[in-house]
Amino acid sequence: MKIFILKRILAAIPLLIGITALSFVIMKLAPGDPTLIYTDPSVSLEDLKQVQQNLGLDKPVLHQYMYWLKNMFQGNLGYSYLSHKPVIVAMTERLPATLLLATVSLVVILALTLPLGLISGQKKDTLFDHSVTFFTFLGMSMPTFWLGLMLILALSLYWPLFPSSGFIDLSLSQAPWPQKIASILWHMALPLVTMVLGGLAALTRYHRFGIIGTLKQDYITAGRGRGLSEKRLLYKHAFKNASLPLVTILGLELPGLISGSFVIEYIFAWPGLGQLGVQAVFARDYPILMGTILFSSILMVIGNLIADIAYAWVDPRVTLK
Amino acid sequence: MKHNKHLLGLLLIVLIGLAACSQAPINKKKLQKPLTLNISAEPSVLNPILSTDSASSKVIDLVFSGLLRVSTNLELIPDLAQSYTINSEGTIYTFNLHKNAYWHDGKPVTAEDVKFTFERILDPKTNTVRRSNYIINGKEVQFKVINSHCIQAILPQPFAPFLTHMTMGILPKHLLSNQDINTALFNRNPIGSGPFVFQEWHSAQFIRLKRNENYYGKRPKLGSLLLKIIPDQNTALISLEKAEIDQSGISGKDYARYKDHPEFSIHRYEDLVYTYMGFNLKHQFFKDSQIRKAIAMAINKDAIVNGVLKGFGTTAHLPASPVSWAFPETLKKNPYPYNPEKSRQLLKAAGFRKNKQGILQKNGQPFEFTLITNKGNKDREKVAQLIQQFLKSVDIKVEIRLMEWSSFIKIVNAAKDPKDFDAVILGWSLGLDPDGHSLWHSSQYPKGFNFVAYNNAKVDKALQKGRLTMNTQHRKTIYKQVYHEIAKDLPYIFLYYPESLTGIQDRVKGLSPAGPAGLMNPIENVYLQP
Amino acid sequence: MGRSKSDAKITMKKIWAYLKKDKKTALALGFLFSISLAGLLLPFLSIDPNNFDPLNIQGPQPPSWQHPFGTDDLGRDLLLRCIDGARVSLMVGLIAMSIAMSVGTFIGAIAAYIGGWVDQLLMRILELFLAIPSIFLILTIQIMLKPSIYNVMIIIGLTSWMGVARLVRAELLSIKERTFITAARARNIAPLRLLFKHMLPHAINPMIVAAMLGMGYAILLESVLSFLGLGVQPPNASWGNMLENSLAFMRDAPWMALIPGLLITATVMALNYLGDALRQAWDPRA
Repeated sequence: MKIFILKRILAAIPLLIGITALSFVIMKLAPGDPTLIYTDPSVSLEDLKQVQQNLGLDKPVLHQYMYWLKNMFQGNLGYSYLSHKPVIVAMTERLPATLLLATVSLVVILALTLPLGLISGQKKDTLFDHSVTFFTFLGMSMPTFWLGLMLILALSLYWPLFPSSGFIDLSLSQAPWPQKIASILWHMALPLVTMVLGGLAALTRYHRFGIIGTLKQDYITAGRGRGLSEKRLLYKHAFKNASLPLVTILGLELPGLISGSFVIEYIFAWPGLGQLGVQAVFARDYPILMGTILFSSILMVIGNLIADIAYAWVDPRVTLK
Repeated sequence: MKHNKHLLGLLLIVLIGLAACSQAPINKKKLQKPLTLNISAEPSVLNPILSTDSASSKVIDLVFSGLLRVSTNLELIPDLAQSYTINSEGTIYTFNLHKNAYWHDGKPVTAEDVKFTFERILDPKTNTVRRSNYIINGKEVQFKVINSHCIQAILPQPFAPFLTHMTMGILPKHLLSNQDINTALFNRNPIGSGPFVFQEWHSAQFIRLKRNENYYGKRPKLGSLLLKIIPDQNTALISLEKAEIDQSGISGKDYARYKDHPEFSIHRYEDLVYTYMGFNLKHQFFKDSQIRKAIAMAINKDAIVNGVLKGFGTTAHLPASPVSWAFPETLKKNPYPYNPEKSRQLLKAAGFRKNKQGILQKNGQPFEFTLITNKGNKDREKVAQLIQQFLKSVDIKVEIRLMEWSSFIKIVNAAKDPKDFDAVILGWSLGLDPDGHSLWHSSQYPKGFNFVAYNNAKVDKALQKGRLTMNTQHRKTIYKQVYHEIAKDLPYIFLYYPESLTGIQDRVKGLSPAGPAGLMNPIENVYLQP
Repeated sequence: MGRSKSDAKITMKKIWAYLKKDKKTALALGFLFSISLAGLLLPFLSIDPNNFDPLNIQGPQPPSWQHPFGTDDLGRDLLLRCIDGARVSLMVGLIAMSIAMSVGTFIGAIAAYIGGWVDQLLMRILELFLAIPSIFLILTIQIMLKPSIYNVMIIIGLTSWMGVARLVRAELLSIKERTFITAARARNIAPLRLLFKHMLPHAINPMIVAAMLGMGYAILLESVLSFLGLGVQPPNASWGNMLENSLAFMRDAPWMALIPGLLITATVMALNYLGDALRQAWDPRA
């Protein structure tokens, strides 16, 4: 097991280098550079050139990438061109909000997906199944940002139940913890609903197929023949087996939680990593962008690893080697 | 169906829970909220010599102070410098600092700090874009400490706009002298000498400031300030309505909805900005001034002000703002008023005829061009579409292209001749000084901001003279000539000066008259009605 | 060849039988058909949905008999613009999906057919593409290229082929060892012919389903790109840039945001239902 994990981590290193190299090159091909974002006539072009030189932007791309890579292996991700902050600091500041939204939505999605998929798979072609299908298709088909806007329009504007943006009520900086948490949850409501509705759909759909598929399997039929109760068959055998693919998908979705939530973060002014990354694209803030990409690729590697381990754990027939 | 009910129950519990939580913060609002402003974007860096974005400067203006500052009437008035003198040649500026000015950490502000600040700007290793402000004709301005509270700036030659650069925030030498200024922690935890002290910064959320109890000027009436970061305009307006913030910009189309709002009032003023359509004067058609004139006469500027700004703005015909002291009242009239009939005649006279597609054509070249503007600015996007319609009616075909800002700047600023664009829509915000050297002097092409390639010897000469002349009345005459030439030559079609609308809660008192220097300037006077 | 033709016939029959029974799918198909038709016919009418009178702009007007969907901020009829946008959105969906399908099929087929190190290499490249957060990739490439609808299609296509490649590879790997393929190989049929004439047709069903979903995905992605201002250029309409344009008018003119959003949702949903129906027609177990 330990050897397996070690091997996988070693195997991930070339992949990570490949990802960062490709991203770096694509990034550099985009016209413009970080000094241009606030250009106006009061700024002289000689000064811009000097800053470009100071930042090493006049060197060849390969040279710049090797420099970044060398520093990265020494644990130094550089400084943001925009805020002059260390990249690590800029990212860790944004991490809590992103992780909070991501994990809570993941939990909610799972809590809803498992029963919904199970029931609609078991009661295939009933009214319940059809309505679940309808709502999952609806969730898959709505543009996330539009859903977010409509929620703001309805639940924050016309019917002011929830705040439309932000992370916490700023008047609470001295308040006790429970109140702060309550405030954060309250602010999280709309982004959470947006994220859950979008994420729920595909997983539920997938789970439903898994259940239907396993219920058709020989061993379930055999179990029926042996007189095992339908409940036991469903919960003990079918459910467990149908959850396997879900585990894989969840592992794959981990990095998507960062890059996928950026529109949501933008609309609800949620102070997360996605917002930071997208801003970095437009500002050509390469160190931040590279940091974000590196982070999400590491998440992907971890996600895949967890998926494999979990797979082996749930299904004893799979061995890790 | 049983499971269905369970689920519904679960959902209900979650919703009720959230609603209950939502009650909690409301009950707690007993203390008066501090003055809460929206700075719209995450500031990049809270260091006056490094920052270039407006969110940063909003914070920096409160935390730092410069030798001079801008008054409500857009005049430079003493700040850290209690007084200053200029020698008769206009080359030596002597500033006497406030004796009781202290940094927020208690150390006194001295002439050494001033010298340090400007030397850091001049240091090529500093990643600042302000260096050229202190380099005149290739020579650096010298800063000489006379005594602990007196400093001289020695210019290689007279330079009229120099004083406007003396509003730069001063940095504390004792905290920065042995640091890399580009990456210093200071840039996120600034210590200045301004009316407010930096307290905390929650990235992408807010910045909190408190009153500087040892401020050398008038003691601020506000105990603290909260600067929220709300990038989305809709959200900001909702926050204003819910009184979560005290101030927000309002666009013209929303004026009617808010003008009678019981809790906040809208203040209107003309800002120091103008929007224009700029020609690439090296373009085969646009180099002909008659064709530019024809295009100008095909465009109805009043319709643009009404359609795009909902009437909140005035038409522009020259590159100066009506709020500026240099604005020539006598040149207020549009030299090329809307007249599509005349426009068609001019185009015909220039040799254009309609082709089969119904587009004007000359020597086999159809009159088609691409109008680029930066994406994200809805007003400019609309202006582009209006211009497209106007020019369509004189049979010129316009294609619009919205570009992301950095790519856009890369095109107009590329040091090549001719440049890869036909025409642009942009806006300039003007400084306090009317000096337009970087925009209109022929030396600023192809490297520089004269990207339209404007070249007029009269203007070049006058711009040089304007920089060397210290007398304001003389300068006014000089710039009048510059504006007259430019308005006549039409390198840009000047479109409009937008009016700024800002909504401020009625509980905020002590405001100055609305103007580009800000309603809350000086901030010391502002207070909240209990 | 004869084999795949008869396959197709049977499938068409199945689909028709299914449609008669299944009203939802018929509805989905009808909806897609009618918006495509309207979108395609619009250019033949001499109405320009981008036209307005710059001298007299009548802000956004609510839906009325004259303008069933209302008008936008420049006073242009939104029904016309929605129809015009339908053509753009569907075209982006269709072409982007075709690019993704071609690239994905090509790479998946090569990987499965040749196997060995080629397979390994291609799969690593695929992982690379999967690992870079697509939104950053798309944004950056989009900035790099001139903003235009064709580039949007290409970018979406080139960044969403990975799923198809995996699917094709998996399907082909399972077919590869089947007896008729082994027999064909023994008969020395040219590899490409074998691949395209004998192996791929067996993977066609899941591929069509993937195409339906892929088209929906492309339409959604186009709307995000346009929402960020990087897609179709004004004055031309796409559902995405209509939404972006509606942002500033959310409160005064909610119809500007509501209608294009509903159209996107309905279209993508119809594609999903269609994909689902096709799947059921081929594999009634699911």
